[in-house]
Amino acid sequence: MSRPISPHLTWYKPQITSVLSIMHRFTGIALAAGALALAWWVVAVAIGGEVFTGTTAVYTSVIGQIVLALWTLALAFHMSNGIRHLCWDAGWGFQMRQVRSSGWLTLAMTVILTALVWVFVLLV
Amino acid sequence: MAELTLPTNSRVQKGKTWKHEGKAKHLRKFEIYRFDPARDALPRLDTFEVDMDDCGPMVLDVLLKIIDETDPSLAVRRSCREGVCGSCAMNINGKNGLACLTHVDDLPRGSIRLSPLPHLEVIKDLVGSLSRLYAQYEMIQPWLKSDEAPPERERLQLPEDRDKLDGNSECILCFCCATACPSYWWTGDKYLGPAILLQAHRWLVDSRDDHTGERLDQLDDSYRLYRCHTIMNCTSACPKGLNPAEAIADTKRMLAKRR
Amino acid sequence: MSERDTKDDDDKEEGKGHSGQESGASKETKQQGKDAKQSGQKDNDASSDKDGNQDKEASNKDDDSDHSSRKDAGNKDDDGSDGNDDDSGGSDDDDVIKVARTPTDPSLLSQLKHSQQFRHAKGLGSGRTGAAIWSVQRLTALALIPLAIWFAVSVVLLTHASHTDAVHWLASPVRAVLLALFIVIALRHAVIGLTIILEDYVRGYALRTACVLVLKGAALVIAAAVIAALIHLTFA
Repeated sequence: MSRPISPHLTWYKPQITSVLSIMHRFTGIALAAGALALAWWVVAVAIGGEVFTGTTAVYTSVIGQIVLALWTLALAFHMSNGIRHLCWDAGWGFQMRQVRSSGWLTLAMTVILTALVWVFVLLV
Repeated sequence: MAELTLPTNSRVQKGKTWKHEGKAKHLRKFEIYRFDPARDALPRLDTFEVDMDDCGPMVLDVLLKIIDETDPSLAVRRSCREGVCGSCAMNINGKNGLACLTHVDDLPRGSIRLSPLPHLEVIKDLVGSLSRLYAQYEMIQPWLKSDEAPPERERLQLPEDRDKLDGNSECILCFCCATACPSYWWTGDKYLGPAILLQAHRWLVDSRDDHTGERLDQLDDSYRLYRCHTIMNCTSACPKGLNPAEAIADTKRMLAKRR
Repeated sequence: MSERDTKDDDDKEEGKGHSGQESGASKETKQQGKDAKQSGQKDNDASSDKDGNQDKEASNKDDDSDHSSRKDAGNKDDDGSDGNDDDSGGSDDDDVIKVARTPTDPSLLSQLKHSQQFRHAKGLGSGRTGAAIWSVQRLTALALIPLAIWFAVSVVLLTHASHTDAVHWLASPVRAVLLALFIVIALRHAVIGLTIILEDYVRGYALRTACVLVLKGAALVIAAAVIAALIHLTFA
């Protein structure tokens, strides 16, 4: 007799708690991949010549810029939400009301920080 | 890989609809998870129509009415019907809660979906197996362990030390929190989950207990305690307004401080 | 309650009776074994073979007389988890007359299932590594906040940089050290985070360990490459 497992992931209501948590995970993975791109850029500068121009060409292409924009978004989110997590680890902000408002604040900070970076990149 | 989707024997099928007979002004539909190990190979979702003018206000009232009048084979755990025993914990419209404390009127319009607490082995209908949770509860040794000889009367405790138990000892072990935690879904065989960790914390902060160090040793494990990623679904689900996530964070701080 | 009381008594007796620490230590382990077992058992004065007795009782009932169909069903239930100890009878007593079994009492089966689950929860004990890794993850996170802000600002200012600009920027020892710190700390933080993700979703021990090793190796290679590049740029 094998008992069924009761429904979980697909039936449980998505909430700001769980959604931001899984986003933290996804952005963390994205940033780890982004660290590769950064490391490669440093190496490319050291090598110089065609390697550097090629790398710059990829990074400044349309697709490259979109990826970099998403990467900025990921960094902004992971850092904002990371600060939220550090506050929790320090024992602050555990009431559900605070959890929800800090969640929305995290999302707002993500948008503001990303916009700030890209306004500078594109206009200055 | 952890199974993120339901195994084939757990996919929920369309079930039977039990229509309400006669006229009714306030008809509401309840979609209820059904599984009978004696008859069913697969679980299914039955729909029951209930006239709310002829029924108590709580979700548990609806379930008892269905058992009384429509389908006596529906299996539900319940006892106190006032949020003290923790028996009727279930998933109501996607969130865990106690059926006896949930007003039907507070739920959004449309049909209401009831299923067992998530990611448990289903024994029958809305009854999930809690045996692993009980085994894990036993493991943390939820009793006072004092090195002092038993006193003639009660063990003494300052009022401010007693206050530290507030928010811990009110837990009714309904396991709404543990079964709301995605981390417990994927690694529940090793991770203790919020309900058990809240109880572990209850003994960690008890001024009369002399085994705090050993208790912390037992928890200092990347699975048992540190699968908590502060997702906060536990606190969001607790029908008693307790805060397992905060207790877990405090436990982690205790472990960090003693390093 | 009774558990604790008997423990206290035992400890006192130990202190009076045999002087010497070894016996005390062996008592301690025995005590732990008792803790592990417990469930239905209370008031255990005879601290020694309580567990063994219980198991024998269970298997005796199994061995009484006929019916084999139910025996199979019972065994199926048993072999679910560890299966390192417990009855399952037969193999250890070769020259004993074979006796068919009666159906196993369902209450015994559920008791067995409980103690199996209890042993599974205890597993191999605590790994004692959680707090250390957790602290490193938080400390690296803390360090990364200023470093990431510095890095983001620098990159924005370097957006339209030529190769000479970039070389010039990286040639400063202070910047090189900051960048090296940023990358090394970020990689440490990433390895911890990704390892936790692997531990969450990859169940097999071998596969998971292999993934973690690849991860750590990759992080080391990346860190080494960046540091080598920075050294080259600073001194060249």
